[in-house]
Amino acid sequence: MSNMDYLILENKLLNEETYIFKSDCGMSIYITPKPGFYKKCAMFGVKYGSLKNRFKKEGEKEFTEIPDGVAHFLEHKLFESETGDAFAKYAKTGANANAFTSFTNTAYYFTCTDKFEENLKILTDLMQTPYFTPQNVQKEQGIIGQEINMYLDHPGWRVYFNLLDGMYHTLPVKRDIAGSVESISKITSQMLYDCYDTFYNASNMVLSICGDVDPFETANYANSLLTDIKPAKQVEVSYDEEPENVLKQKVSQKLSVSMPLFNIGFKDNLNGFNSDTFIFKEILGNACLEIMFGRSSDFYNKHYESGLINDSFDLEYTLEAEFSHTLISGESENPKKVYEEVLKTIEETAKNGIPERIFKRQLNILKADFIKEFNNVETTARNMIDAHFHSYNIYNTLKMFDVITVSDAIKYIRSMKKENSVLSTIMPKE
Amino acid sequence: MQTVNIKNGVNIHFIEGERFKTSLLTFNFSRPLQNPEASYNALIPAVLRRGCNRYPKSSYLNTYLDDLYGASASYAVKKKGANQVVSMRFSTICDSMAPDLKPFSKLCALAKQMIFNPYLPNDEFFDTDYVEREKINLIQFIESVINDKKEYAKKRLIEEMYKDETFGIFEFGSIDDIKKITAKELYEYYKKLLSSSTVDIFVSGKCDKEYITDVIKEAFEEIEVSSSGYTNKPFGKYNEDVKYISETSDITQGKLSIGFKTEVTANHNLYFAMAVFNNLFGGSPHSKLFLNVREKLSLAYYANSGYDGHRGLVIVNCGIEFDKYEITLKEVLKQLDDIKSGSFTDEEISASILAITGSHNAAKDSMSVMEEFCFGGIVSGLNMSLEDSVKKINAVTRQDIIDAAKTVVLDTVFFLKGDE
Repeated sequence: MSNMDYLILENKLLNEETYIFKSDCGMSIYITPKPGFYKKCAMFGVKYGSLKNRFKKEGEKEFTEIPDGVAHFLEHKLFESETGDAFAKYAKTGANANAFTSFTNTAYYFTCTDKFEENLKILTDLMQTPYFTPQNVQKEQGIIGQEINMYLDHPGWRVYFNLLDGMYHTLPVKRDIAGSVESISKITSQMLYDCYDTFYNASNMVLSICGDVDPFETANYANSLLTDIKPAKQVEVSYDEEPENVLKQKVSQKLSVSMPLFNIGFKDNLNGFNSDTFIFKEILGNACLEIMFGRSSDFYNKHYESGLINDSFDLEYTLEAEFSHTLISGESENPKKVYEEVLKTIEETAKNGIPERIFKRQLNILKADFIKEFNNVETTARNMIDAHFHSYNIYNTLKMFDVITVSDAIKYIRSMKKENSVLSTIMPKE
Repeated sequence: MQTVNIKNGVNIHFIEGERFKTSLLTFNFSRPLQNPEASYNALIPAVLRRGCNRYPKSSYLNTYLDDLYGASASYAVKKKGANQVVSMRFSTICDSMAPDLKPFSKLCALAKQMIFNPYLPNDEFFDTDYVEREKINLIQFIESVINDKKEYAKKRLIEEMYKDETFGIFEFGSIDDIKKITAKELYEYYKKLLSSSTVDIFVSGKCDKEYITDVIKEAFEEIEVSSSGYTNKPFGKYNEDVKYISETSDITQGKLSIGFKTEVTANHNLYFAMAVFNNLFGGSPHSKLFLNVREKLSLAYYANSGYDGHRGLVIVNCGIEFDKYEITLKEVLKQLDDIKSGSFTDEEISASILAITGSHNAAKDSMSVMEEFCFGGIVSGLNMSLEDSVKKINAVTRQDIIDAAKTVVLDTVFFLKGDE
């Protein structure tokens, strides 16, 4: 039995702790024990999503370009191996398995209440046994083609991707994660192997486990399963230069909807955050949005009462190492007016400041939101993966609430400029 | 689950959850599903959410909720068989996370205010502005069902399957009925809702049970409740002819919804076999629909089935190319016939049993799922613990599944296709 190095992160108020083991293959294993919980979750995170479309293969000098949608296609296909489909194996154990691909990550996971060890073996096996053939690639093109078409019919999804398309000039975040029917038709089995060999290595992956488990026994067992993980290596990725301004300030599409849908976004050029500054920025972005437009704000109550917005109104802050933006979404008979009012509120807040009382209240709410996430084993497992890829200690989050000041918020709000904003709408057909 | 009877028709159910960091309180007011009451039921929680006597303006109410660590106060109207449920749900971090403030206890007191002491500007009825605004919001919400084409296809299927029947009534009411409602009428109806519904209140997670019981007792103290209990209608009847309906829209992918009726509802001896049948048919990644419609024929990304034991209804949904309608429908029906004729393996049976019992065991890790499970049992009268339910599922045999499948009869096919 190996003696892996480990460290323990903990927080007394939360009454939570997480063990981080360094496995023999070089991958980190996060284990968050949850005594009393019935569900156990294991999630394998890969730092590879739809953004990375140009990279250097091992030993090559030139960059390789791949079509949109490969990371997501690979996620679908990894479930297959020479010994059969992983879903068929999970069916024998009763686990609930799934996977997802984002702009920056891919994750494979299961939850179960029984046979955790068997399930962990199925998961780690599927990660280490790629099996791509021209036939199984072709079959998947039909299935993913229908997945893409499903999203084309979804106004809420369209208004969002249209916004990103207007916001970004070159970064692939402007295109659907799954690609297009046309781009996926170019995907070959060799391409899937190239991406797998390049990105699925020890420095780019992490295993996160959460549930009522013994951390040491589980870590040793997981370590023994990770024998075919490729050694750690740095991958060179390249992007075209992304200008600071937005490509288009207004984007609109017509679909058969009952009333207009809108997304208002502000591109945020303060990228490259890491470690504790990442948490800082994430809290800051969310706090600023909530203070100006949250349900107890003057903006929300005034415009809800007048009927300009309804309770579909929503706020979101997205922060990644490569890009970040704020998002204000909803339905309105007059999206242009909502946009003008949003700009006006930002301008006024930047000028008038934020009362300390309101600021503190908002930080308390975000603190509670953070605490709530520990109710759920999947969310906890996923949050550990995000923390790992952004190199921060998740338990430092609570401390960060005491560090952020009103003047940080005002500085951020002043950076939300009209020229960095996009209004995306879906208008009803006549 | 520990139940405290407050008065006839009003019960509080406490669900354990010491390990959670939040607590949850839900009020369910249930009544027989009927028009035009459905519209009133859908509108009332929206108006109550706007303000109460102590916090008459929405901004005051929202600010107070934010002071309780961003507590949520949400509402829903649901359909459970022939019952309509008006549900108001309150949640925040538990008292022990912020012992000085005790946010959850305060939220329970606020919940009582919001439901039982609404804002009545003239002491006689609801605020007219609130009612008129929420009428518009509700109408806009009903109209927006068209936005999500998958949901729209499902809604149209249900309408066609249960024309002029209770089960077909839309839980959000009808636009014509909503338009006619006045603030005064709504308030009169609200008093009826409080005094003549069956009320089941759920409290989950760490909480001060005594305090909450007192708050709720006080809330009902002056209300004379005459509840008629839950309505359990039989499934209705099988239709002789299958209805085929199609509509067009500007979509890229066709949405196929197939409705089947079954006489097996919650109190039938094949109820648990039906649950296993559904998992095997289209309720899992090892199901007949997933493996054949998706994996083998690559016709769809999603191809699944759902079973509603309150109504005796099985629905299949798939997103497909417009010209794949015939072949998909044929394949779905073939898979059903295969189950009816017993063409499935023992491995498939045990996989489905494991999947269902696994999700039953996992339910205990979610307060809202646990609450939903308990409430479903109360409405149907089955009232079974998770453990007993797991035993019943484990006892399902191959013959039970075949017998259950044989009760599943094709009723209506709805297809939403492109303009061309």
